[in-house]
Amino acid sequence: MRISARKIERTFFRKTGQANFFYAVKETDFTLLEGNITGIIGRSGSGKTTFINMLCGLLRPTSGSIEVDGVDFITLDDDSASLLRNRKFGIIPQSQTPIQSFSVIENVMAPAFIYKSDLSREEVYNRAISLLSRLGIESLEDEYPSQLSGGELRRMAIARALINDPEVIIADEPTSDLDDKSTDAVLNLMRELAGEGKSVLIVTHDRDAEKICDVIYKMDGGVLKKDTETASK
Amino acid sequence: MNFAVSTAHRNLRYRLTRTVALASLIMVLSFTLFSGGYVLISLKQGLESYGTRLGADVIVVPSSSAGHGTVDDILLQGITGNYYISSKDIDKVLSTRGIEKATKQFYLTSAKASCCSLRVQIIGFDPETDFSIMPWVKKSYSDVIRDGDLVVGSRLNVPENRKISFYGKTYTVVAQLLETGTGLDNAVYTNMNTIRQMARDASNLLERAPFKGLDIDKAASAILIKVKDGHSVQDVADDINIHITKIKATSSRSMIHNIASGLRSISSITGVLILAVWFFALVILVIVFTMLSNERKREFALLRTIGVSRKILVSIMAYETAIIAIAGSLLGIIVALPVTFIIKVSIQDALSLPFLTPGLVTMLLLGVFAFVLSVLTCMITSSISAGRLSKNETSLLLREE
Ligand SMILES: Nc1ncnc2c1ncn2[C@@H]1O[C@H](COP(=O)(O)OP(=O)(O)OP(=O)(O)O)[C@@H](O)[C@H]1O
Ligand SMILES: [Mg+2]
Repeated sequence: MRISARKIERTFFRKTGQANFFYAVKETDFTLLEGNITGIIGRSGSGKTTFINMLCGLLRPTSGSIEVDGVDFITLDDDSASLLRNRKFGIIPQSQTPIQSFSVIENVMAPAFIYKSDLSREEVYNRAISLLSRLGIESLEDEYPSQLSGGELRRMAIARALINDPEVIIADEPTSDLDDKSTDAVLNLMRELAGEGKSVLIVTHDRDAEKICDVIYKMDGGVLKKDTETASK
Repeated sequence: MNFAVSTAHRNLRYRLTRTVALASLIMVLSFTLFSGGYVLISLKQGLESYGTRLGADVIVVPSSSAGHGTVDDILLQGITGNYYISSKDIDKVLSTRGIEKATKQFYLTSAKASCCSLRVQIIGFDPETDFSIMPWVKKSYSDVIRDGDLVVGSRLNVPENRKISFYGKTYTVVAQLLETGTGLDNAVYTNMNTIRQMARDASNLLERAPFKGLDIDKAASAILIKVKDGHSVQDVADDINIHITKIKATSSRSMIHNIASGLRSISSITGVLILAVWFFALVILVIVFTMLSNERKREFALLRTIGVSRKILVSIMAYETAIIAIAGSLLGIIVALPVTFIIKVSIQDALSLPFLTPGLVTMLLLGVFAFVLSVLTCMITSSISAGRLSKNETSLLLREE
């Protein structure tokens, strides 16, 4: 699935000089390609999370357009956009985001049960278990999130993002609290997904993660540019 | 199961303390609405029933009975002294201008001694001329009241063989009257012949009978008067009070007025209490729901990323609130049911106010009203914060803290 953004901008209220708003993302063009791993780097507060929130339709740009496979994502109503996000997007948020009242396995399976689907509970369960074991936390399936460490929660969130076999994977610092072994597992998974023709977008500060990227962009003060240093590799 | 419903269930169970606390609050609300409404309706019906039971415009009693044995006491508490109006005074009263109908009543208190089954107020009335008690009797007994027949108030325990004895003689209970919520429910009713027989028996049996020098066959305890159209009730009462000593005429409206003002203060205290509880519940709910939705912003933001629409998000919150509200409201009403019984007994006995429990249909309607109002209060307050949350785009974004 191809996502392309044209001249998107997003402002937030904040007193700055003469204006009472500032640009978190400014005049950005971007295309997310199938079969590729795209990386975004940039300093804290430069607008990376704001940018990807717009790409998945969670935040409306102040101006500009976003198309998902030729469909205008901005004017799409909330029900259709939510369904699209559920079916086609796998989003790994930057912060820890468990559903506290669900066990680990239920957290992972949740996206499969929001809307009607052809998959049986058993099929979903098997898929959830195989994702958990690839990430090395299948033994935690019946634990509750309050019992998990930061890295375990992160891996649970990754499994949850992948349960519906999404076409687009958007990961906001997916390896920031993982050890080397888990980082390798996650990066291998990402590479595999790109190999299957999926579009993968990773926001990262991690050198290892940067290495697996086909293209790297740098966010600087809300403006996204191809990163010349790494792109030349 | 539907995602919204099962998520709501899970969350309620996971945050059990919170769930129970909220449900308890709603329970207090519906409890107050139900039992407060019950008190208000019962007092109002009691007063109405008291007014209709009285039936008379003017009531004449011996003035010596004023103070303890007033008609108020007779009606509300069933207590009276054995004081009587002589036949000479009765004639004088009956000759007053402006009287359309008049009927005599004869009151007697049974003794607690072995001669009597129980200590009650016995009211003798004249079925021929009566317009006060007969209409009430007719609701539960259509036959004539013969000599020796007793009709009893709703709060009296009738023995299984229907026999009650007074001053050495046994009488038969032929009917039990409908509840009025007043002291009349504690009394026994019979015709004039029968009560006069009882009085004669009493005066033979008792050492210091109050009937010395009294012509029992002609005397009466009270005269109830209906005033002719075009005549002022107050004028008739004044006329009697001025011209005849040793008796006291009271317009029933002034009697009802006195009771009504007593009722009004209790009613308004109850009303204020209901409003206060409702208002506090409202304020607490608004605060609680705002806090809860802030606390759950992150979780809702996550649900958005996995594809939950605003509609589903709102229905998760609505289900949660509905379950809490419905359970709390029902519990409140269930707890209130036995409590209404305690309220009834204590208001009737301790405050001696007319109190008439509403019928089944009114109780049901009251239950529905209390239920719907407390559920609505809960749903509306929660929908304010749910609406605010779901409409605000950036508050549904995951933010780093
Ligand atoms: N909802 C919001 N309201 C106001 N300001 C916001 C909002 N979201 C983000 N911002 C601001 O926009 C800027 C960009 O934020 P963003 O979260 O996109 O940065 P980031 O590049 O992801 O940073 P980090 O690497 O620390 O995650 C920041 O200055 C932030 O304070
Ligand atoms: Mg960020």
